[in-house]
Amino acid sequence: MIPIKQAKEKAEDQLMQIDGVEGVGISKERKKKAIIVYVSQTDTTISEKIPKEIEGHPVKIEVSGKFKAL
Amino acid sequence: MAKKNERKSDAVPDGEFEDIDLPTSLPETEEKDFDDIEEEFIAKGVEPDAKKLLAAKETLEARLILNVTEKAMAADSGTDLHGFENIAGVGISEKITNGRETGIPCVTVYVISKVPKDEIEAQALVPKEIQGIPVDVIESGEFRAFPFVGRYRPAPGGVSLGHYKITAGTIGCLVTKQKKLFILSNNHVLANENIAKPGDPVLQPGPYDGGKVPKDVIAKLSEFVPIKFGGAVNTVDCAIAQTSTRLVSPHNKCFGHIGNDPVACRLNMLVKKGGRTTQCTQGRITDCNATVNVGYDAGTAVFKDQIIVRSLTATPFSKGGDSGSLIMTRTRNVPVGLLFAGSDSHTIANKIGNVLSALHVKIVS
Repeated sequence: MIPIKQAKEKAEDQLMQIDGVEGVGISKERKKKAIIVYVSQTDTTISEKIPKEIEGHPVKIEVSGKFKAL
Repeated sequence: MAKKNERKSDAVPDGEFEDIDLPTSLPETEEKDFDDIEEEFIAKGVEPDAKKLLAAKETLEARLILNVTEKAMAADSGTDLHGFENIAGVGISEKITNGRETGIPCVTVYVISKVPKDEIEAQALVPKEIQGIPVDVIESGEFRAFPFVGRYRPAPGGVSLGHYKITAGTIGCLVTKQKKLFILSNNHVLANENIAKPGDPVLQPGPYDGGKVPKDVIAKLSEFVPIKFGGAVNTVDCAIAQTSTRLVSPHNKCFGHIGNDPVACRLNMLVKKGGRTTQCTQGRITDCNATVNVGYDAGTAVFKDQIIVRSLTATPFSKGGDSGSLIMTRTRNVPVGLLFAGSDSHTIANKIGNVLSALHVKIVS
């Protein structure tokens, strides 16, 4: 299994192409890392385009809203 | 844009701001194991002692603030005595005895001014203890609604600032190179999203908060890393403006002294920031590898290698106007990131190491 950072890098460009995806990152909850896909809103048409796992690493969808400069 | 990040030359004439001496650097600090902190953070419920403390605080809060009628609040009740109008707030903190924190939790009453007992109306007297919990009285002065948008000389990190053609952002911290002193903030705060010219005036407070040329000029734009809009990748939104030691303070408005040796981003690190709009807030780093789209006035830009911070409380970690805030570790005030973007729930920051190396500067603490 390739490291999670590499897996994220590989998948990132494709994930960012999906309409409604605002970002891709890596998070850790209870000592378990996951690839995080930040989306603009709760919407099944976005989430169904996002794989459940990438190169064996879990993928989580997080609703962040759109990011703007503050 | 295919151009690589490049820096604009320093156009502030020599002699306008004096040279400074480089401060010596602090030893590298090692933070706690963040997994432990995370578990503590997630697992911790409200302890029975804390419940008792909270109940005591709420009782006193109701008596001194919430249940006070307007009539009682109107100071002139026919006497010269101080009443409820002298109470500024009620909270919970460590009991302070002889100027030292004792480690004993207590209910704290903040008063505008401490006055002798016999000059206070009986109903507004602060008890020595409430429901078995000690009560401390702290002279805080009056709490003003938006102190971070005011004019400060010297101006600390965390207060309002902006290029003369923008609204307002935040002073991050002071940085130095070649014995010159600069304010660090974002490109979109100091350089108006690439449009500004080196030498342009930077105001404290920012224009939105009433800052005017020439009386509120605190610095002049020196350099910025251009933001690349469209598909090209950015890592930083940062700029520096030259200033003078008599105009600025190396301290942070919220947290005082800051460390000058930055640390790398770590997942679940607990952090805080002081900023123009949301002022002093705390958060947790939830991502150290984020790639995100960020909307600007001039268009959308892609940022890689970013930090994401989420608030520890129900109030957001940042809002519009907080751009440029320095994000530092919660326990030791060590710089980690430069806040520049976000949504209602998420805050995005550049890694401070990337910022400092892009501008070839060091933090002044």
